[in-house]
Amino acid sequence: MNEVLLISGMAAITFFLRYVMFLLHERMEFKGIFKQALGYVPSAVLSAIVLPAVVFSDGSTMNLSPSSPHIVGFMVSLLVGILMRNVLMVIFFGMGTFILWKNLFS
Amino acid sequence: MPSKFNYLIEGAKDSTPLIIGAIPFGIIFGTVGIANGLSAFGVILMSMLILAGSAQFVALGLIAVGASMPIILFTTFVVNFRHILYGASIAGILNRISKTRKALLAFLLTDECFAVISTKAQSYPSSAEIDQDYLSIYGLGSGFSIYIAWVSATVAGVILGGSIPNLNNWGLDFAMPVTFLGMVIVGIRNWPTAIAGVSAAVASVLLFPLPNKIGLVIAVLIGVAGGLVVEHFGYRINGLRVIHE
Repeated sequence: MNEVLLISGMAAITFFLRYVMFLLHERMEFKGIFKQALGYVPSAVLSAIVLPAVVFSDGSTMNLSPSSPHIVGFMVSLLVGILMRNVLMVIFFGMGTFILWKNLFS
Repeated sequence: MPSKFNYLIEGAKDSTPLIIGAIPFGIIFGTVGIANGLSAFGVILMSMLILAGSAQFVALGLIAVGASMPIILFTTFVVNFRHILYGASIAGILNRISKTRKALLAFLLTDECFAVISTKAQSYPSSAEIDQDYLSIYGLGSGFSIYIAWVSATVAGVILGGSIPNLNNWGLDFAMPVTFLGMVIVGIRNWPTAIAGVSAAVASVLLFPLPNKIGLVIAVLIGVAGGLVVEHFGYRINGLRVIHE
């Protein structure tokens, strides 16, 4: 299989998916329920990426054990986030807990 | 004095934790790419032109089992389908910037870059008050910094091969989730956004077994629907429209 052709095809598809809505928006205004819906995309996407990464921390099996650094790190991050509403604080305490737990239990 | 260059730097700076999280994956991609039958040139070209970690890894897996080109291209489409939502979201926010800037932003619109731009956009009181010139340059700063890190990490992986010990044990696999979590919590400002986040999160865990990130796309749609339903519900109950962007 031609490597360069394959990669170019993948690149074209990826760029198309990222760009097509910019093109569409030049032709028509986003309005009504569609525009309303777009307002929820960031929270929905980020949440949908985070929770599986925590719960399926090895990439395939569910691990909800309190000895899992991902689970405990997540809990602490959630708490810090709700209390302090500051991204850097969430990263600081979340990573700190994660590294501590990783060293305690592995 | 604030100049446009500073906007770029700000975007790059706010992307730092995500870059730190992406670097080990870039290195692993470089090492695994060679092992799965791509040339060094091909592996680096993938990171330079595609800039989409999960799609790149999935493609490597398919190349390794000898899948045909149409299958790999179709899978790329499915795995990256979520980017259409990112494009729609950003296109709605940044509608007055130049075509070149739109195209560049689209090229650089990874999960991480989208997260950084939309978090910044949500820090404005309303979408009408967003400084589009600033936000688009800020977004390019985020995108370029992630791009440079991803490509450099891939090159490092290709050169170092398997000689980096236990990259999986560095603990950096938590950097991306923890940063996204911080961003999502700060971005939640009312009940509909909270419900959108929680329902998308639960749905994506339940739908996780579906292949090629299909579960992620469905989960996002469920989350968005959840947000809209709560917004509508709040409107009917209180006679007050929930304010959001």
